[in-house]
Amino acid sequence: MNVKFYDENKKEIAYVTSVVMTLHGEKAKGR
Amino acid sequence: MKNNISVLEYLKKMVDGKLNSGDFTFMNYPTNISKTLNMQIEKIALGEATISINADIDIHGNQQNTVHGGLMCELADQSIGTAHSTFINENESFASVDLKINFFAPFWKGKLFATSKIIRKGKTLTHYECKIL
Repeated sequence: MNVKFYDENKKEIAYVTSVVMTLHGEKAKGR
Repeated sequence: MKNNISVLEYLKKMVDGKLNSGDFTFMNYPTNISKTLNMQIEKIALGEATISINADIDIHGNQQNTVHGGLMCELADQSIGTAHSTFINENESFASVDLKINFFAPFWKGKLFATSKIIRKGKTLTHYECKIL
């Protein structure tokens, strides 16, 4: 699906970088 | 009939309005925070997501009367988390361990879109970038 739903020339308001940790096994069970 | 499907398949069906009554996945969608803030998933693919919100200083304003940066952080985190959830299997989970935001311009009212893409995928740590337009 390549529907344009916003103008790609729209002004950039913010730029974010993030690191996400994948949890496996016991750590994935949480509380 | 119950139909257990992957997160990616579930979200694709949700975005396309094609979820059947028995469709479910092991993660909670739409998330409670996105319901509270009225955020929508606009686009979803493996490792990619676009989330939108109708931002308005009458609801989300700070003391300078611009949209609060914390809302942008939440929008970006929703987008990145949604993108990453497409990789998650039933015996796995995930957590954001870092988020850095650069604010380029103030915003007052209108629809904001946060689009996330992978920079690098590792077994445990995955790096994302997200642009808010």
